[in-house]
Amino acid sequence: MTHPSGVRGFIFIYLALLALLALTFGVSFFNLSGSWGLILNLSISFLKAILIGLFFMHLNRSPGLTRVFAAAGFCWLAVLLSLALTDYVSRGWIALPGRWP
Amino acid sequence: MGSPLNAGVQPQEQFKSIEQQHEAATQGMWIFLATEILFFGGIFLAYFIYRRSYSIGFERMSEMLDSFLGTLNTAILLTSSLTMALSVRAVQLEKKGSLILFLVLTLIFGVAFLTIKGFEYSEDFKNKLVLGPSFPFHGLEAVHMEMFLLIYYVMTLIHAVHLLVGICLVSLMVVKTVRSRCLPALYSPIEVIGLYWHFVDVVWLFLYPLLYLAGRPHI
Amino acid sequence: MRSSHDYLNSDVTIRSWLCTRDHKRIALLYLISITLFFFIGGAAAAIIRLNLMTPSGGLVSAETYNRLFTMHGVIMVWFFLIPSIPTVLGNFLVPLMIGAKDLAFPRLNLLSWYIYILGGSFTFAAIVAGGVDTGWTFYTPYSTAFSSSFVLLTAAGVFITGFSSILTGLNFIVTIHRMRAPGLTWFRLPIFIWSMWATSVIMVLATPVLAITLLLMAVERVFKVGIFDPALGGDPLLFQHLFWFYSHPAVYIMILPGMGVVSEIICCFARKRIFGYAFVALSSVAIAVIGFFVWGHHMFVSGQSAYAGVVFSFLSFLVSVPSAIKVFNWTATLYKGNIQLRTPMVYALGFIGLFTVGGLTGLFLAVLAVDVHVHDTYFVIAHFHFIMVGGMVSAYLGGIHFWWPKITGKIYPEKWGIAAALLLFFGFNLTFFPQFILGYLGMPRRYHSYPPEFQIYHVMSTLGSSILGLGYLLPFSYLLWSLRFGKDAGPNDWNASGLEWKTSSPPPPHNFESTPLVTQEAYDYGKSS
Repeated sequence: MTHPSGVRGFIFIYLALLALLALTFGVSFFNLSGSWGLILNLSISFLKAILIGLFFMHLNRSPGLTRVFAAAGFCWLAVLLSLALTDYVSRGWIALPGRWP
Repeated sequence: MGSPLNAGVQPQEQFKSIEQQHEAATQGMWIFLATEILFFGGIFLAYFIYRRSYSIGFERMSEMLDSFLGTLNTAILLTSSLTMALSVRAVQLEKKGSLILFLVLTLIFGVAFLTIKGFEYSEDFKNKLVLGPSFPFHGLEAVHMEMFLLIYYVMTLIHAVHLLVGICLVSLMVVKTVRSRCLPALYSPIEVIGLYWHFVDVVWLFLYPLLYLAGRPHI
Repeated sequence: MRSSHDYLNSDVTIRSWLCTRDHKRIALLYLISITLFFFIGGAAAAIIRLNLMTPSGGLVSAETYNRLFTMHGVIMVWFFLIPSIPTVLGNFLVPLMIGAKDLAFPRLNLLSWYIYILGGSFTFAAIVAGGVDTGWTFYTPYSTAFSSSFVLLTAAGVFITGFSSILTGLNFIVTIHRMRAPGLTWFRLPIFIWSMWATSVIMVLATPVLAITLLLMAVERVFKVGIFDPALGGDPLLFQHLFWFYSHPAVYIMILPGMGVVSEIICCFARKRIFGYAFVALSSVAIAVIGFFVWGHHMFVSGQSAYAGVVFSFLSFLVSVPSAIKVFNWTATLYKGNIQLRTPMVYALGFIGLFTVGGLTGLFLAVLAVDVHVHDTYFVIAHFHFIMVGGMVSAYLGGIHFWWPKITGKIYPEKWGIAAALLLFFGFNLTFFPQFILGYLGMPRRYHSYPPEFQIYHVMSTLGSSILGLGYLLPFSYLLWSLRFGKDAGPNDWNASGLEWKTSSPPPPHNFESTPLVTQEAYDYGKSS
């Protein structure tokens, strides 16, 4: 890159991150049904991660390949989580003795 | 395109130019961060599957953690990310004084995080929130609560170790900066360490709600 | 004629070797280390096969037998197969093949070797102390709550060595992306580079999961907690999911480099460019990616949900497709080629046949209903040895022979080479084909004794293994012999295509006198064909 990002931009992102943190904490005072609380929290965390990645970690001005590397880890984690969860989610679908839990 | 920010620095002999070296370094660090995502990912899988099955125990145990301190720590780490980003900016602008200031601030916030975490652990120990015979709860739900506690300790300890490594690296950069006569040569290392630091912050951003807010509102 | 200034004789002190940053020297450091581990793992196998000569298995106790097959697996998988081609041939050839002076991070490369040695030392210490008896798969809760063997020491060795893998993969990926010579576009790369890239992606993304798995296993064992222990509320299948998420892609770390080597050898000794270059190149990527989606096929009978089993079974069928594409394309490359049956080619042809058998039997195992019967039997053992030994070791030896003149500047004795390759092929088949039958008939794996009706197959297998052993000892001997007494090699005695052949044998320390400029496709053999 040929010129540094501006201070104001960083401060703005920082304040946005703090606002999202306040949102996360604030939402936790409310009773959300089922796993919506978890989903909301994770979504906000993702948003914070994207902000940090794009602006603090300069992904917004990095070559495409760098962004692919950045995304790859998350994608592979998604594979691990989703395929492993297919087991746990579907274990109860057939009544078998001694299944966990 | 303009000349790069660290032009004039001599690249290592396997590289054709300093830009090639810098790109290699940042891409190499991103690959390393991908490995870290998968490293932490294993324990995230454990968290999700046990939370699914042991939800009541998880929520009860999570509630006993100090969510105020957890939130404060998250804010501290976010601030350290800001100062780290400003450090990278300072080295790009070759402002030695600002660079040292922001690196040191990053260090201070990192150490503050670890201090508060340490304090939390000591409170946990005082409240007997430990695994083993002194765990104050009993019965089936206690097993579930202990699972949460185990994952909590493993996740936060591994995170703390990573943060400690980051603190050592940033300290090293402070020393190098103070002694440096050619600031552009530090651009690559500081940017790359910055990437690592931000990553450690991002991991915490996921740990925080999963560990501290799972039991809220109070059940 | 030997130059006085090649990478081997430019500095002959021990320190210059142990502190080298030269990828070529690091490759040789690895060559020596993995050969050492290969013989240790092979010794374990020899004792296993001797024990299995008689149904009562009286050579060693059942306890010792458990430790033997565990150490055989641990060493062969992590200290031989996974590093082999990437760290020896990959380290040596990747910069040369792309026209670079070295890898992107030479010091990291040396560090990788030291980490490998450190991890190997831990594991070696575990062997000397008495070994571990959990199987190379470390299944819980046996490994964490019941085994009294040296689990932690072994796991520590594997954990540490994993970082060697990660750093090597990282190095290769960055190098291949950033340091290709001018004109060397992706689709002009040798297939070996594509396969090294794909292997590196797997190394980088899969190995960290092994690391966290071993760490959690260690935590459970040391602190007596229950992440994976059902008695303490844990799920043993969680361990298996995490373990196999790494260990299945790991088998592709082991085979993909071999496939790359075979592509290079086939083209050179059929004097033809590879048939369907893009398909062969991209099939390496497909194997790397799809290989991450199939790990549950190791867990069909473990208690995993049957629905997940169906998903993993289907995905396992899918992953065989790119491998099959390669086999078809190699065959098409051979068709109407000007075949020269030199030693590397004999190994490569053996690979194609044996890998095909191994791969097809993998498909049998991917069928849920079949797996119920042959899981944990010798059928599985035969399957993976066909791939790993029949395939991978053949490819490794073929590659060593093919590039030996380049690496050492010496020529090995060709007749001995052919003899050894044939001995290996014959000995291998005699060792492992009877094991398919054994498994089908019901002989379980990891048993030190068995019913008498199985003896004939075990005797054949043990006999075969002694011939196989000879097939390993021969190259070890004559390759060493050639270092002192072999004829000097020219820069390109094979008349092969590829940038590595455009520099001297052995290459100078900085690989090329001047940066090559690439203007042609890969494999410019016989342009008119």
